[in-house]
Amino acid sequence: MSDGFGIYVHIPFCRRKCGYCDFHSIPLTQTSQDTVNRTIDQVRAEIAAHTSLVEAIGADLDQVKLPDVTSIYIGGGTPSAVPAAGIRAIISDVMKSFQMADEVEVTVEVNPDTASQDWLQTVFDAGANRISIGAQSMDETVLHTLGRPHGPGDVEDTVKAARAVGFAHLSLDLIYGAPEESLESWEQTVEAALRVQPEHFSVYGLTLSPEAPMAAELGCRHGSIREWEVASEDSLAAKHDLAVTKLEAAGYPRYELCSYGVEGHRSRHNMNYWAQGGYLGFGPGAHSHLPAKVTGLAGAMRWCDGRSVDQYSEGAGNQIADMDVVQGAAARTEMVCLALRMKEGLDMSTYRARFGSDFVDDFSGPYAQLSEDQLLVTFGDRVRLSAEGWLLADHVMAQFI
Amino acid sequence: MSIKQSRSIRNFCIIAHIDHGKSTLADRLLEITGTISKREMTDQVLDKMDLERERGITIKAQAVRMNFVDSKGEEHELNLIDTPGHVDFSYEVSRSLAACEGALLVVDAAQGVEAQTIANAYLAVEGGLEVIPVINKVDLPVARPEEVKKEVEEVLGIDCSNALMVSAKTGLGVEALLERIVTDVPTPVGDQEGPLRALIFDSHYDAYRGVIAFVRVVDGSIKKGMKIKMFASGEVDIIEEVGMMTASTNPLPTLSAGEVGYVVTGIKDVSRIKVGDTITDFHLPVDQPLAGYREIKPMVFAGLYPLEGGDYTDLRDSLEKLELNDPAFVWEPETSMALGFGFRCGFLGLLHMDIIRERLEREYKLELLVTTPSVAYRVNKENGDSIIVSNPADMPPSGDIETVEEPTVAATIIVPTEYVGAMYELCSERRGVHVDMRYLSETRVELRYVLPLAEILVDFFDHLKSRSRGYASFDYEVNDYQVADLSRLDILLGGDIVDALSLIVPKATAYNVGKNLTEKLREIIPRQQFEVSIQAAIGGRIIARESVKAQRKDVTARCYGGDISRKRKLLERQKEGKKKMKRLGKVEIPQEAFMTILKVDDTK
Repeated sequence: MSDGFGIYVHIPFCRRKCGYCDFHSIPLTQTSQDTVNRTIDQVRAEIAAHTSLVEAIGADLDQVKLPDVTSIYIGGGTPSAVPAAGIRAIISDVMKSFQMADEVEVTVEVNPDTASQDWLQTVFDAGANRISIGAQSMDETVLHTLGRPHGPGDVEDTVKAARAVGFAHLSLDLIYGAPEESLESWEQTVEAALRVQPEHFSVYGLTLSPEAPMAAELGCRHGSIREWEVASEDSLAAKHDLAVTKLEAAGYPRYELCSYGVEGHRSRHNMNYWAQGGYLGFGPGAHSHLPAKVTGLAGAMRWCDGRSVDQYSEGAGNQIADMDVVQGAAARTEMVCLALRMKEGLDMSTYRARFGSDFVDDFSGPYAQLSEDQLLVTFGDRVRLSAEGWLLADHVMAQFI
Repeated sequence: MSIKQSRSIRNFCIIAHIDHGKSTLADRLLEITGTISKREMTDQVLDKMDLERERGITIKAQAVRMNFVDSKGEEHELNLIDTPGHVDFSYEVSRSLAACEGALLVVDAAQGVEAQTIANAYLAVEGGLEVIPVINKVDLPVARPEEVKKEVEEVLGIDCSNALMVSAKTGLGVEALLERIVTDVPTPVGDQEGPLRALIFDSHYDAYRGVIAFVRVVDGSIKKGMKIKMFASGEVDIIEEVGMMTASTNPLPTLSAGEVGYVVTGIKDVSRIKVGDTITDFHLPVDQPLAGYREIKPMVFAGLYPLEGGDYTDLRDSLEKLELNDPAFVWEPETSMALGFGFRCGFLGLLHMDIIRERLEREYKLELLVTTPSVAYRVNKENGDSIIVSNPADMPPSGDIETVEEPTVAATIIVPTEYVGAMYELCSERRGVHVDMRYLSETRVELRYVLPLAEILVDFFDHLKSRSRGYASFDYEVNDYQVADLSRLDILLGGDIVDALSLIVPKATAYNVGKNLTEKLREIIPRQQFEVSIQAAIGGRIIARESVKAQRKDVTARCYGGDISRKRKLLERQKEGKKKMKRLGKVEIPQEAFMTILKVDDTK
């Protein structure tokens, strides 16, 4: 288990809603500046009162030992859609309210159409040292299909502005598999993205939940979303393979299911998620996780903050919703599924040390079957996904549930 | 000696084509006679089970007593005996009719005479019932009551000069209908003092009281404490209670000749109380039972298998319970190489099968795999033996077979003239033999066919409806076995025969069926971790092959903002979805595969 400790802050606003998005966010056109301000105030109040949050999950404060913060992540939504002063205040509050580790990764997500150089300068001065840019594609048509409000030129401009300000760690988000996207278009996107030379990529296949705005139209055209996915399976696989090949050849080894980074630039914040590390989330719908050893409780606690922005901005912060206690078999499954996301896979000795039993005994059935199917490979004490396994990760993980 | 009952009794039923308003009319009669107050009414009171209410059909007949004071101030006891409205249950219909002296023949004023109208009207006329024609839904703008009356007269030969014009929905004409029942339906005639003879026309299982039998007392009387004997089953028992139904059960001291009511015996097993059987006095037995009793024989067979092997015992317990209140349902253990331990079940028809499956899933919370339904073939072997095969996997090798006979039905189709061609085509695709055709009016035709039962099992009705734009109506009765040129078609997945997917097909179309079936299976079998070959074979010879490519991608990488719980739930759902599939060797196939194979078009 990781000794890292993360702080996540959710900014639930966007300039507009993208067609594929089912995340928790509200377009600025449908809310008021007042609501935005009150939400930021409420986030700050939550951060200041975080001990009451820890108390609210049932932990005895005398027993609680929050580790030093190793990463801060301001996500959304689109943090760059709200005034930089708000983000600055939040970062500064986090740094004041928690004990900071020596080196802290501070990431802020931005969209290429909203992050001006001034805006980036302000958050840089506040302590941000990593920018994650929602590029998604470098093809004008695909960006239009996805309902993104920016063009490929905006991505390059944002990268330039961030470099000018002094950011040494930039990450680009890319999405493959948009309807009507050709393999050639995707290849050009990957190449164009490589040309702007970020340190890190997050690459996702487009998945549409039924709630996403695009889903209804697409579902109608193909019978159902599921049928659309089935029809595009081969082309998705080809795009995935292309991305892995090109990015690794360009010096970005894949270190996690959808993450690629040059040496020394892995996302520390995300790594902490996969290592079952602790983190506290602030803002509507933000997720938190405190391992048992942090709280002194019997199991690890996972919960999320109340989801309604309206209620949240009215002062109903630090709400505990959907709380899960993860212990026993669930904790084992969780460790396996999260560890398998990483290139290094599951360390069976760590597993043994933590649970007092052997992974290969606890999961003998799925382990044998998946090994036979050549989706899992074992090297000494480590079990990880094979090359085919990466593409069938959901299938693999479902076997452990 | 025949003595009339001292009270004025009328026993009647309502017969109608589905959706012509039988249940609504029953509700209105109960309401107007004050049997059930308006406040107590949920729509369609007589349809008891939830399932019936959802499907809009009546599965179990019941009897309700209404008190009616006519315009002269005289009091009458009207017993409404409900009848099931689906062809699967035609024997039950005939027994319900046998408990009555009169029948209301309800015909929709817009739709006119339909196939079920004819079948049920004939049953009533044959049974000697007084048939009162009722034209329903006359308030509809599209109503054409005069034409429909003419149709009833021409098609059924029933005088409609006095037909009642009714709207069961609004209550229009229902008072007049009650008066008519009193004047036209004969009062029951029976020997009050003679030895007991009572007809069981329905039964159902009550968790507290055991089996409740619905009876029409023909001669003598039946009372609490009496020792009785059932004629056909030989069952001997003591009567615990007799009574009649109004809004609820009302115990009475006796039921005597001419009366309709219920009888509780304490018997726990419905199969021991047979619909159509005659109840007699143990100490005063009669020589002759009431006519018309028949053993119920299942017509359609399918395997029921638990999706989870561990549910086998639960499934057996549930089948035992279901059998208690459904004497038409039969089952026995069966083993499939592909599916493991399960049960071979027999049903009256496909609707009956659907009802059983839904009840098992809904009431007993079981997840089931139902194999492709089959009929019972009579196989005459070279060595002179004759066996019944209700599971295609049990069909002997063709070398051992002299002939195979299959059950047929005598079907009636009523359709507007412009769709006659489409019906000819459909019936000939289904190996139908044309028997007769007659014009019911200038625009409507009655077609009669003999069709193999196997050919109408799955989607015949759907095709009938779609090819006639919904205008055709259909009814059938069981006909003889006929010799047919059939062979067994096997399906192999990954090189192994899946016995549960075998089916019996006409030799002439076997090749096309095999080809279409493998294509269809390729569409519905999801991609697996490895390539799956799909083959169709007759007598070991492969006649068609397809394959499902190995799965290439199954990953939705996204896991944002540390929302681990959501990812876990998605994976759990994925796992649940997998559970709904059945693993045959290494191959996972969805339940729908078993129904799909009967829907394969063999004409292409």
